[in-house]
Amino acid sequence: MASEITLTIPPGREFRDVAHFVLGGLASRVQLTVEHLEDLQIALGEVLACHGGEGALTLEVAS
Amino acid sequence: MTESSRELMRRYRKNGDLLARTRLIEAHMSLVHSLARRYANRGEPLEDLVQIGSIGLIKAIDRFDPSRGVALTTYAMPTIIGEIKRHFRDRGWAVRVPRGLQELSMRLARILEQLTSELERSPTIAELAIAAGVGEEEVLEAIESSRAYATVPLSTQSEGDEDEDVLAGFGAPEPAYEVSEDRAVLAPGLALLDDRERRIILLRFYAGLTQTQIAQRVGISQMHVSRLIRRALDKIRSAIGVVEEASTS
Repeated sequence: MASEITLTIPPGREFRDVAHFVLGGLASRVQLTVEHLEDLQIALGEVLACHGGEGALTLEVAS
Repeated sequence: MTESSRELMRRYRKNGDLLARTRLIEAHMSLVHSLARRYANRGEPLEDLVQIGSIGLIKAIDRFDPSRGVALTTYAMPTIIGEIKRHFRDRGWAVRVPRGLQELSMRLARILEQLTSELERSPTIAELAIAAGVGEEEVLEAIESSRAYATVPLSTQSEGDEDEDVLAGFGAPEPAYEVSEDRAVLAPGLALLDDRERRIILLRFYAGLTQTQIAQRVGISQMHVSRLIRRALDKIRSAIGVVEEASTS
């Protein structure tokens, strides 16, 4: 069964780690390898950095 | 100091003979390797520690005063160790991470290497947790905490294998306009990267190699490849931001 998580992150850098932890938890549940998790974390880091922290950001992660 | 080292030092001090200096450095690199090995398995690749240590060696050779009657190796040893220790102090954990978590993170890095070699693929979180005898949550926490670990940018010579073709290809004419446009946007950022970072970025995003394949090719761990990719992307993003700001102002 496909897993999907939608996460809305409030503005502020302090919430970015929450997004990384959620992604880690999802990766663990769907048996992703550490390497794939690292790739996703890098991509997430870029999304968060490019967003600039203004306004909430909604992320949808599906497997 | 051996007779030949003494002669090399004399030539360097008296005549500024840079070839003599290079030979002195080469003659004492075994000392650097030996000292760097003491600090291996603490989260930093040995090759990086050797490079850091060699900076200490060069400083020692440049500052050494033969008239003091102390052997060069005696004088160089604390300078090399000092340089390596400073590396750990300045560029180690960027934020306060509990010691237990730091140790778990470093232990997991070693287990990750072993499992990747045994399984011939990157392990899952669960496999890593079982091998380490900890819970999956702890593994995730340790992986997250390792993102707080910064490493020194070090240039590494390309080994001159087939990667050269990838690097050469990046600079070659490309018919697709979008690719050319991407290159133009990325160029200021890529120019900021050292040789190793540029090589890793091109291997990952241009040649399409996985982090594990890059790790095997470059001779560092997959986690280290991941850290270098993050750092390189930070640099590229910063450079693009600066260019964009300049063009809009």
